[in-house]
Amino acid sequence: MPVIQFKDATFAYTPGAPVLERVNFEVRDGEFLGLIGPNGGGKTTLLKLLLGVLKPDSGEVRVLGRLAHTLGRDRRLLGYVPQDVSVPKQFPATVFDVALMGTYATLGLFKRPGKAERDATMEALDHVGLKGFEERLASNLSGGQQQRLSIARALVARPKLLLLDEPTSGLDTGGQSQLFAMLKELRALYELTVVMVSHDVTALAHYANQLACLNKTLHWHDRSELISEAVLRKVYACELDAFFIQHREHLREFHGDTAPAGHAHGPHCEH
Amino acid sequence: MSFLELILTTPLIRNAMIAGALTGVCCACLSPLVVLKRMAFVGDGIAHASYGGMGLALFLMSSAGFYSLEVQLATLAFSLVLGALIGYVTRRPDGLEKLGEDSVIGIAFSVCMALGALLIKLRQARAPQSIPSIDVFLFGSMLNIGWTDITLLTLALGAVMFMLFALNKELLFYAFDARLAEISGVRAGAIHYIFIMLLVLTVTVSARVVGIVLVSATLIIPGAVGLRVCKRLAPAMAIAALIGFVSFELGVYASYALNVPPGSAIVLIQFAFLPLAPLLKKRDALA
Repeated sequence: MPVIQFKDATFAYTPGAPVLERVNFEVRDGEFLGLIGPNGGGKTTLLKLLLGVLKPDSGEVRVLGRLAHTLGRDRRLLGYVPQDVSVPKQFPATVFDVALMGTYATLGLFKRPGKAERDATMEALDHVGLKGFEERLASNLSGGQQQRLSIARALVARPKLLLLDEPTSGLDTGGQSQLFAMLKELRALYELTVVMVSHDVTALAHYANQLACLNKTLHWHDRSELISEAVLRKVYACELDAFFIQHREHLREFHGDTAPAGHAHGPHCEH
Repeated sequence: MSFLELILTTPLIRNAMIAGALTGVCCACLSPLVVLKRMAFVGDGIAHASYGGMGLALFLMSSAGFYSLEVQLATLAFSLVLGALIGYVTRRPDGLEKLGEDSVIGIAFSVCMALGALLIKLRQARAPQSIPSIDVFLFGSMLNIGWTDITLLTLALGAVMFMLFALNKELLFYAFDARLAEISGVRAGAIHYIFIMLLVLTVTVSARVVGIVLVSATLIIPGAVGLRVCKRLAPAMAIAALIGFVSFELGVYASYALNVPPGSAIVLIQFAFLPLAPLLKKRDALA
């Protein structure tokens, strides 16, 4: 069963002006999907459909076999790391408290987090490199640390799927490679399927199994099939910068023949 | 006669002390959340708008007195409906189409007060019983408190305490990031309405006793102090409750001893805690 399934999903905020049009794709267990596209191309809307915050006007969005907007409390099966991970200044919660919030949906009213939840929280903090910071005020962490805290919070309920919305935007190059290396470990540890929205095409091409370019419609690419400049031009509707074009050569070498045989689940674009 | 003897022998003073303690603790317990959610204006708006409910109740029930239970319950019902509307407006992610939520609350606030003043005037023309001036609504009348008020305040405090205890983790997540809480499977929408309803209940019942000015102050200052002193929400609420209690009791005493208005004394005592907050803060609080 695919973890994510979009079937002809169309969504419009105002009738007649769809943000997403007949989007079709599937993501299988354990895959890492990188989602790129220009601002206003519908990336965040697609994430909202996945999270069940929005409902498609037509078509279906399924997560773990169920319609995404009917997940209710089972939304805990989706770990979500928002773009803005900053903790409000002086918010009265320690690093441990914030990570523990990820377990709240699994507990009912009146139930306090028990040993199992506390252990899972400590474990997740350890995995993201925040062990020893538990008693710090969460808002006193650095930007990068707050992002790792957000990932820990998303992981404590042991989700099947991790969704990250532009996690690299506030990080320097070193921070970005650390983040990708950490995600690689976490994917294995938590047996996660990952969807990451990012503008960082080169980094995603390094780490993601699959890439999708979104600009109202979806263009799909397996790892074995790199995105062509023509498609990116079409999707971004502008010339690519020299840096990326240079990098593409490197990527071609990087993926080379080692890429797994095609396992396309989505429509290929017409390039 | 000492003040203690006065409390024991004079029901009016005793009731003022009891109602003050209940009001102070009730408003102050909610104040850290009001501060964190930046809802100071929401609380203030509800407090002012409840005057419209009071006017409507007095106008429709022309035989009912200002302090009667039915007027209080009708005011509460009006405020709860208004609270639901404010809850809806403040929950919309994009605000109303053309107006921000602060404008909507500002409009509700002034229109309801205007309506209240108008209806009370009409009621006075029709049934010329004495209805206290708007001063009583603004500043309360702590020496005119009966058991009805004390019972309603006790019920409100009970509801606030129960909800804060039952929903403490959900309220923390809601205050942290309501949208993220909802996405994570916590019913932040329901929590939002519950919180607004608790505010409405507290504000409406307390305003009758201590006036809306004092209610607005107590919904902010103790919470601001508590949050500066503590690094967790529950202790911040406990500190706020303590400040609420102490300020009301000291304020009523100061009012007697120094012959000053109790409301002024209470707000100034609360305010005096603000500069003390950094001194009370543990060194590791910001570690």
